[in-house]
Amino acid sequence: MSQSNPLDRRDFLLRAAKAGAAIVAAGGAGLWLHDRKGPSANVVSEMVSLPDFSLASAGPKLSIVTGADRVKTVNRALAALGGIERFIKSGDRVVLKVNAAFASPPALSATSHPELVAEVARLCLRAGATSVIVTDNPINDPPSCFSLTGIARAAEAAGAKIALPTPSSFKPTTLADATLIKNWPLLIEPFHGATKLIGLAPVKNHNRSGASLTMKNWYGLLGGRRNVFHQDINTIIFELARLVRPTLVILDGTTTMMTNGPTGGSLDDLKATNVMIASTDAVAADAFGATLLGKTAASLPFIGKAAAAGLGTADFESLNPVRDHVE
Amino acid sequence: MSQSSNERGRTERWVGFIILLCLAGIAAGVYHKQFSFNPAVLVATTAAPAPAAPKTAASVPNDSLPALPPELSALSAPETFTVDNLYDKVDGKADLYLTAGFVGLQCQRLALKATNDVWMEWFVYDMGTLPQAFSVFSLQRRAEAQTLDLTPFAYQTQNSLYFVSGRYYVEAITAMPTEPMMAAMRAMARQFVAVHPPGTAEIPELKLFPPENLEAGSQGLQIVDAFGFDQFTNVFTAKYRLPNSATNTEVLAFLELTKTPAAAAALRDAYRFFLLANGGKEIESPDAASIGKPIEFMGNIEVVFSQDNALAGIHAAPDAASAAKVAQQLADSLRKGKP
Repeated sequence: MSQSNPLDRRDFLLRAAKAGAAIVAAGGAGLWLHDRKGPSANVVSEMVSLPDFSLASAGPKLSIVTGADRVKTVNRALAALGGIERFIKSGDRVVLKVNAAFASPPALSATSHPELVAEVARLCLRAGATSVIVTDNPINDPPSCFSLTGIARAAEAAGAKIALPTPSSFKPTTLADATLIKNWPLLIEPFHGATKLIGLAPVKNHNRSGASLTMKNWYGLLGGRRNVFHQDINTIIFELARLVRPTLVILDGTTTMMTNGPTGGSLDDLKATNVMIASTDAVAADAFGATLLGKTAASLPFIGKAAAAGLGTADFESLNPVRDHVE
Repeated sequence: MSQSSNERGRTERWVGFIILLCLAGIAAGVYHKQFSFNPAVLVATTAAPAPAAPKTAASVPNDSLPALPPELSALSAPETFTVDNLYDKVDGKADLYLTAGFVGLQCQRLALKATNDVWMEWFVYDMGTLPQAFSVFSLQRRAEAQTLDLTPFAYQTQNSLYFVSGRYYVEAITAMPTEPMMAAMRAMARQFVAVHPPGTAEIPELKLFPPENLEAGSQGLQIVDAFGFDQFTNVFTAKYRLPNSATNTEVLAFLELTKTPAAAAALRDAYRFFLLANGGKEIESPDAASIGKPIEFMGNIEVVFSQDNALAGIHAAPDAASAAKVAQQLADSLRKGKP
């Protein structure tokens, strides 16, 4: 064929020009369509972050009160830190982040105890808070969780409001220099206008992290398929501790789930340890909480990571905790 | 002319080659980009998905919930969870089931008709096989449990029942353990076993453990990563309590069956290497002369040996003599049992 129609210079130049034009057109189209920012999900403008709710003036403090009555022990534990009035002022809008993860009755101690939630809500309102919002993003369906745990009824009776998560309650957040929390949905709606944040967590054994304490409690602020984080549970707890800076944490060790956590199920999984801990230092609170599970802070990597990052101290004794007992 | 044609042909080839190179570059770029895509974006674009939306029992072909005894009524619709959404029900503990071969979960809240506020939740985990159901049963067994005369693997605590029937692992949990509720739970359990009988299937490995000093109900199965060693799969364990010993007398024996004696020996060597590489030290022990040198590891004693196609040993024993005694009994039992 080439012998019957030899290509002359003119044909070649024409063909080369056409090929060049095709390349330029394809390249130009690619350049025109290229998204230089990459897959950003078009949510950059909606990105949110939590404010720092901690009180610098309060300093790192820890109180440990023994006793079986949650209402009495939490009152004494807060009094030992200077009273709730030291943290909650008139006009404050308080968020109580509880653990309502499972649709499980309070007797099984898989969730924050309703008596404790109600008492802390009452104390905040008495101290002058204009509103108290109780929230969590449970694992099971939210209405059942808040209802069957008794948290909804108790909190509302105390004057607090329950904020159940809905899809619109979440906005993406990114934690600076984080490995895991990038463009991840965060339960933000209950925090609109909030001025104070108190975490209320039970002490539990946890199948993945070894322990579920105050820092693990922030896991309930995440949305999406957060179960993927269980593959790197210590890092996600550490990053949550960086993300969430509460006013105060209260760790309920009245009944500790010693085995088969975080769900438990049998009363045989529980042990009456009769301790209430209040602290402005979540790392210290968790370090003490570890001892209730027969563990040490050193055996729980998320505590070590948080302490190394300066989020608190794993040496809780260095805070000279106020110890007390109530009958 | 011929030379000119050759030159043109060469030029065309180069132009064609450059175009192909460009296309290959674009393809490589796309290929590279899809690896670095942030999966969080998918989540962020849709914000949080709706809370767990359990399927109804009607959508499940293999309905494992039995008919209710007359004293119970449904407090909620049955829920079904699969491998994809088990975490919606038991996040934090889902891995325990998933790594053991979990197939599906059906659960339902049930109340006593007489007092509607006394309720329980009934969980049926389809674990695919009897050994896999036994594994999750054994890993969660409560120490102070009371054996239940229901199936070979069944117990109750003050507020709950746990049992294995064939491929199913079942839990019934109440926070209000009144006698009528506990009786209703046992009635439902019997009904379940009637519908899904355990059959005659057995777990042969359990019979290879020697009966002397064996703690009743202490046998277990760890399907993955037993003792932190990722080459172990399907490791059966059993606790022994040695009488008349001055020290802590609890000893944990273990075994895993492999396909060939050579595979068992290779696994034995790999585990020994793992222990020694992580700070273990071989120690002399005349008691263990026939089964290899024990290894002192993190303050405890490990023994590992192979017998035919079984890899076996002792984990975290308090002293070499106790470890050697149970290891020797286990070796004798394996020899008689010929796994």
